[in-house]
Amino acid sequence: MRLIQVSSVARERPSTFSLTAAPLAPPRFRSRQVNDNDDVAAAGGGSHWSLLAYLRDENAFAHFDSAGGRNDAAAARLAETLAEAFSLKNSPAFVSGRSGSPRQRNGYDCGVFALATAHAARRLVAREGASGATASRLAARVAREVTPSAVGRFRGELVETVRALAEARARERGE
Amino acid sequence: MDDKVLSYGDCLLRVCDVALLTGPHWLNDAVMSFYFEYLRGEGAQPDEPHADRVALVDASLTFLVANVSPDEARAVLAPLGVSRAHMALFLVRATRTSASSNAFCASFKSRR
Repeated sequence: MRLIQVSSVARERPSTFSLTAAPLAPPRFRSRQVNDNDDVAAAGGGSHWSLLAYLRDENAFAHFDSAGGRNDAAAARLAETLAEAFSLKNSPAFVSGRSGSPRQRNGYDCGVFALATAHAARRLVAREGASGATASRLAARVAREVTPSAVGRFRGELVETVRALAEARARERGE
Repeated sequence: MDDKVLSYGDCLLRVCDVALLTGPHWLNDAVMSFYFEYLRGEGAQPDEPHADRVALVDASLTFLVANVSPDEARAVLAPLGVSRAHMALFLVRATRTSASSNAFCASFKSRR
């Protein structure tokens, strides 16, 4: 496991826009998120999903990145903002996505890895509370559960979940 | 033609979104945010006594938090219970356009 201080990897936080109007209306920004990558045609361009976990008791960020740390810089910048936002006294540790994250074997499963990792992590802490919310427990659980074959199944289960919810809604409407 | 498949909380999934799930495709913001909304919406299972101590921050809010001041980030995250959570999960999306990079996950432009 690779432990480094957030400040040593965080780069300058780009200030692409600032909020001036209140109240905040988060859904308003959704279209901006979808459209944040207008230059995907550029050679080698692409958008990559990963998952950042903050573990309160350990004061640590654990980054799970199925492309081996490709999003590390972005995740570390986010971690630095969060550390400032919540006035964390000591500089939190940052576990790089290069360390132990399960790796994708193709060019399209990053999102499914991130979601499957979120599912495994949420389940661990929801069941065990603070004792489950450690970087080592989390890494062990994710390594065991988020395998390429499990991610393939997860994708299929997600489709079934969406279909079941849609069918339930249709029944509610009497269709 | 109405191509809406599912409206769930603040999320709307269309036929093209669900198609990303069924094929070998990169997942877009709509699908990613739907799943976090789903995890929140389904609530705690009987064997999950600490479910309310996990904070889930979806892609849109993570993007927002990453691009505002720390004070604004704190205000954005306050309703999600981040400050009292044992663990907070953030969906990170980053774009790289360097010619030498490998395109692990190709991106789609919004079709909306």
